[in-house]
Amino acid sequence: MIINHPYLGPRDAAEFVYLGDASLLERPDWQSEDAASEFHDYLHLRDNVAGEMRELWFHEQGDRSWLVVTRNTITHEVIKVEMARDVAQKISNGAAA
Amino acid sequence: MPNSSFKLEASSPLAGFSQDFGTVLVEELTNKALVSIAEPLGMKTKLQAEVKKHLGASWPEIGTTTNSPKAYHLLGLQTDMIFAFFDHPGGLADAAIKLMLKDNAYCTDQSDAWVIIKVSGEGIYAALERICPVNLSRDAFAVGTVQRTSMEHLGVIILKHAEDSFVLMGATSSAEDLLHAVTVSIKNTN
Amino acid sequence: MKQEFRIAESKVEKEPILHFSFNGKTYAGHKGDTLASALLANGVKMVGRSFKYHRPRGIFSCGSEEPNALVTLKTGQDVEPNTRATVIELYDGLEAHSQNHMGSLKYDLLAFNDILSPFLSAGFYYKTFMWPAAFWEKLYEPIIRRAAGLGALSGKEDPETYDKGFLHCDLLVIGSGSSGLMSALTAGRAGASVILADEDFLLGGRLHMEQMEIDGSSSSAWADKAIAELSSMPNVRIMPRTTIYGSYDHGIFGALERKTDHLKSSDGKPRQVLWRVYSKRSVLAAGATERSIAFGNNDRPGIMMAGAVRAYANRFGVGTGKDIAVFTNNDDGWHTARDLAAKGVNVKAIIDSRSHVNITAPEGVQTHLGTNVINTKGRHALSSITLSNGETLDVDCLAVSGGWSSNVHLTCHQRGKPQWNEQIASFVPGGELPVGMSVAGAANGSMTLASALQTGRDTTIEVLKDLGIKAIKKALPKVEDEASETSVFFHVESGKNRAWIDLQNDVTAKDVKQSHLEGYRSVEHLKRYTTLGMATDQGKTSNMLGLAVMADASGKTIPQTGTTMFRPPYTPVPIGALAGRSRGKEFRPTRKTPSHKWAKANGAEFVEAGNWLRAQWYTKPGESHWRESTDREALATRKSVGICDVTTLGKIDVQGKDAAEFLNKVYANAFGKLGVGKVRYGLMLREDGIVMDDGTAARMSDTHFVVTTTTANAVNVYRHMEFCRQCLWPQMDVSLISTTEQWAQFAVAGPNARKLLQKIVDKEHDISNDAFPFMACGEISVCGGTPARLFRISFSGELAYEIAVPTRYGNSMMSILIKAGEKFDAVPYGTEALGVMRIEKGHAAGNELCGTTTAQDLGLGRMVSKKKDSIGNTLSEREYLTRKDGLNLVGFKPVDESKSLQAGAHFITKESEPTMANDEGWMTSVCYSPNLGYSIGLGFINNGSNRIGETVTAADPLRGNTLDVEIVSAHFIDPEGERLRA
Repeated sequence: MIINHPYLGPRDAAEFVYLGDASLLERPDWQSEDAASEFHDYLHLRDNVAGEMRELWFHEQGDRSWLVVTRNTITHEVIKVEMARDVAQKISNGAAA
Repeated sequence: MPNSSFKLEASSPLAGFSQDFGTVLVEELTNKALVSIAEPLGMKTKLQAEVKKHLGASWPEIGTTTNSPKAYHLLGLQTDMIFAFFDHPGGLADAAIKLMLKDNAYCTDQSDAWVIIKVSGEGIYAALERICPVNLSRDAFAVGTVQRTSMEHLGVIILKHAEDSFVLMGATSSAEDLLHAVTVSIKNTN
Repeated sequence: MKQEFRIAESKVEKEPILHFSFNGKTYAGHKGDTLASALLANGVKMVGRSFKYHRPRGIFSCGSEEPNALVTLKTGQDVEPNTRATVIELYDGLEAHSQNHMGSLKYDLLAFNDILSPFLSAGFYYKTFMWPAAFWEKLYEPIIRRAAGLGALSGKEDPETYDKGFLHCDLLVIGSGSSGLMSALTAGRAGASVILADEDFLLGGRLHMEQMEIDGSSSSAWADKAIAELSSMPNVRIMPRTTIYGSYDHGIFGALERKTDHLKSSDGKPRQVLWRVYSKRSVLAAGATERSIAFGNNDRPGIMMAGAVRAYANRFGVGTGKDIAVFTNNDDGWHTARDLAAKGVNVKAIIDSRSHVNITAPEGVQTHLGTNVINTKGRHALSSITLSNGETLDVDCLAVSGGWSSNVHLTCHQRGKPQWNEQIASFVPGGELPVGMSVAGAANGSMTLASALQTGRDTTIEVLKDLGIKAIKKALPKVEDEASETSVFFHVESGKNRAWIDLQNDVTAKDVKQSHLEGYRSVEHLKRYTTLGMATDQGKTSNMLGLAVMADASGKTIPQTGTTMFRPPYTPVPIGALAGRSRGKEFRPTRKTPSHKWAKANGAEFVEAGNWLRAQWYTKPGESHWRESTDREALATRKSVGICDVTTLGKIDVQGKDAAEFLNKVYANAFGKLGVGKVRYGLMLREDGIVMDDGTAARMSDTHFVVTTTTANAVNVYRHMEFCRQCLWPQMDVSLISTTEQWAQFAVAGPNARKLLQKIVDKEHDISNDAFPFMACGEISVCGGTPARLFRISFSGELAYEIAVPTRYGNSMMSILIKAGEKFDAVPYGTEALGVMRIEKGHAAGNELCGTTTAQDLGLGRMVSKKKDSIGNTLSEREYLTRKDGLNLVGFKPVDESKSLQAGAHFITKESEPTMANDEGWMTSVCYSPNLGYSIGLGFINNGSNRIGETVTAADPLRGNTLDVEIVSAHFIDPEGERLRA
């Protein structure tokens, strides 16, 4: 597979390490009342998507960036690639607002 | 008072290896300094100005390099981190950079972490295409391009610093394996 | 050595003569021959025995689709079995042997299998090898497997080397026939970067195998001209002998280039190169493959594909017989008769299954329309054929054409589904093609030369437009029209005579029908039950026949029946090529520690720790057992001082205004208040509350920490910390970089550690106990100004330091530490002594941090802060993980001190049965303690902290080493920690 890095262009997937669903960006609040069950869901519950999925990939043999890759799990089409840090920043700004 | 009854001797990972393979010359570059310069959060503009002012080169975009008249080569390796590549001043290489950039940057000495191998000659493209997944054709990888990738399971920074001439940087601990990968590639293709 | 069947001028070079041997007999051939063409030129008809029935078989085709002519090349260590004679390029000295026979090829002792054939039909393996079970190892496996076999490997290491590589292009053109050449010319002239790959050594595909005209000259001459033009273009890379064997995601292709297979010796160069080709676009111009017709005894040597017979005459100048007949269901078979007649070969007859044709036979050739071949004769080679009209013809070669199938394989390696085209009686590419792929020429069903040239050009112009490259639309070369009508007819009912479908796996039309009767309705089931198309040729000439017979049996149409899935590789790829250089020591990189040279020169035995090589122990003269060395090192260290290279532990520079807060979140214990110049032990949890790793964090300044990880987890921890930084807390000001390789780090441990260090640390740095107490750290200098870092931490439980210098000084530093320690009898120690001392001290390591244990299990539960958010803290409080009687890490010693403990033993209460239900925990680490004089261990046992003094059984029934052990404190040495602080 080829992952089209937002800054480095097309790079072989062999340079990357896969983590999983990008929902891992949305870590629950440890002080929330249901923290234990929220963390349980955060860690263990995933949709097994046949189609478009947002995934976390680490460019370990590259610029060491974590990426959010939107990929079709059936066709392997890579639809969108974003810097995870930018996505996380938006999430954290949203939470603050 | 310095303790000088014992003297430490420096050795480079490949003991200054140099060999002419006909179409390719392979040389270990020694006494080079590599210092990472990372950007404190939200201080990009300030840091870039400081780098320009003190090192004499502009901040390189990721994947590119810039050079200064003061003989600093800046390598854009990450969006928020670059490497300064220059002749080793002795002692801790990051000290000199830290002195200039102060708390406008986070610097770390990387000089001893990397073996630096220069490969040059017209046979280098045929040799490197056996181990390097990145497209090194003249159109795709112009002089001044830098990338980090992996070759034979080794993490490598590859920099094209002149026509038909590349600098490869790999982990010191596996320096012999990187040299082996390069020389086997040359022997297999010349 | 007269080449009796060499007939005419061709693409082979007459001089010099090349000599080769087949089954020990020497023959002559030419450069440009394949082994097959040279054998045919010498009149060698029978080249092998079939897989199951050991039937005599001859050369069937002229390409990689060959089912029969599998031979073994070379001998001894160099032997290479199962190569196809039809693609082996002849060289002087080539040595080949036939395979799959016992005794000589002609009088194969295993040919009795053919007589037994009624018992060896479809599903034979499944039906026969079921029972009795005892027969499997003794009878079935050795005898039957041997009888039904291919060639044999040498069993020795392959002396050849292989390589891999990476190629990039705008356009990959697969196949160099008429459409491929047109495509490459169009793209090359437009300036695109082009790779043109073909499995053959002669580029041009069928242009060399036909007698056709292009622009007034022969098709072969036109191909040569096109190749010459392409060769002059710097933007075009021409790759003969290169098979594109697989199509993968996003325009990536696998290619196998045979570099030296056509040479007598590889001369130290890789024999083959496995390329990964990154293409922006691809044009598949793989052409078509001719398929056979099934009729009675259609497998004798001398029965060949009609297109191959024509190719041997046109390209290789070889007549495949003296008297040849053609059996066809389409016009193309007639072209074979035409070309052979033009070369003066005697064509006796054309037999066409169709009643009406619009094509004429060459003069003097009898034609039988609406007629089929129903049987053949000839024990070791064809001697006659019998026709459905009752006539018998004496021929030594029968050229068979069942029409041509588009080579759709590479279009199917992703999600492509071929579609049936009734007009050309072939499946053509359909469904979703691989990203960036277009198909041209016969591969796409354009079966005539004119249409192949046109689609080659037009497809490429579209592709270039897509790439934003401007193409010049040049006029197409002029060619004449050709007759190309065909029909759907693949099977002649042949009564008792077996009609062969898959020649390599010996599958007959009857087998296909039988499997249908037995209920195998899906084409995928048929394939697996009969093994049709599962041989090394993957049924390239036979699958169509199988489908037709199955469709017939089930009353369905061919498109309703469908094809089986095509998967890579297109043709076999040697395992050696897939491995490339990754053999032996080169399987993975080796990392050497900074003091490796010194250690090697001083008797070190090395152990692999991940990719690292670490000194395991140092053998002194007179020591003959590793325990002697290890015990000595551990004792000497505890008595005076020892030195160990600990560079392999991961080191990460953590800098930033939020560095302390960041570590507070990454580690389970608190870091916010750690003072500058202090080190703290850090425990890292996974988000699920299980321990991930441990290490230390040293605060070098307000904004700078140096974090260490275990050797094994260095990469994972760095990746995890980057995840935390970028994905979880992007608003934190923190920067990470690995410094594992930047610093050579040494543990200096033992009561004299400080005195030793004072000999090399520059005097302005006070490292006395007051100035530099336990858990202090700082930047210092040694040996007259060399910068260094000093950490007062201890894994051994002794007064100990870790001292780091830039890696370039590492080897020298090791020798200086030993020299400076001479007065104290300082010893270097390896990982074994390191292990002994940490077990004696009760420190957890990898065996204890095994991915299932918690901080509480390790006795570190109180470290997990409840006052802050950090990775894993919330879920570490799950009910089961915090149960009162959970596992505890404790020490163990054998009740009988002369006995040795064994890691992996499970604890049960005394006298109870060693069952899962009684399992109370397990032993994680053991060693012989030279300081205590007996075997000691660490392990987890339920509620262990409250059971000190109890005797339990360490059960190890697997290794027969069950013994009683006493639960003791994990701190065997200096439980109060007085030595650390000395």
